[in-house]
Amino acid sequence: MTEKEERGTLGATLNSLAGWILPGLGHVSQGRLTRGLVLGLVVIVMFVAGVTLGGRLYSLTDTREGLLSNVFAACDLGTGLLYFLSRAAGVATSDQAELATAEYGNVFLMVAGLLNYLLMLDAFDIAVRRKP
Amino acid sequence: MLLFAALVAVVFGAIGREGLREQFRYGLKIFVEFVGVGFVLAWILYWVP
Repeated sequence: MTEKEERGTLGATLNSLAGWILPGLGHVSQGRLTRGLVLGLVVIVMFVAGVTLGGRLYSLTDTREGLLSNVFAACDLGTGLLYFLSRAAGVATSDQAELATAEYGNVFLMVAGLLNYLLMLDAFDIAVRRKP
Repeated sequence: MLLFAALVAVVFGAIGREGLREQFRYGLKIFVEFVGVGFVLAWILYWVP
């Protein structure tokens, strides 16, 4: 790998990380404004819908549901800053489900994280010119 | 279910295809499949005791 390619990969990785921290930022930082805003908004809407439905953000140290809790936490973690801010503010951290729709909320939160992981990979592919 | 399907379809459509028309068609396909499979599973589970 040449030095130029290494720099490109490093830049692409940083772009992906930016996209993880704030959904859509990985695309916006590459000049894909519309794509970044739309996709970032989708992840944020999904996250907000999850919280509104009474979903719960799992912690990596949570063992209430055994190993599955770690899998759920890894999914939730995909939302980046939204995850950390919500946990710091005590939003969606209740151990007890307060709404009948809490399970739907959990799924929305997890899928928001998983979609953001996909966006990270997409931003990486665009940065290394694997995608147009 | 509709909201979930719509949001996932937007992301899949946008990253799965290139060109606005192709993205729209693919997103629509994903949306219809999500909703369709949801209804089919719901009806199957309805008859399962």
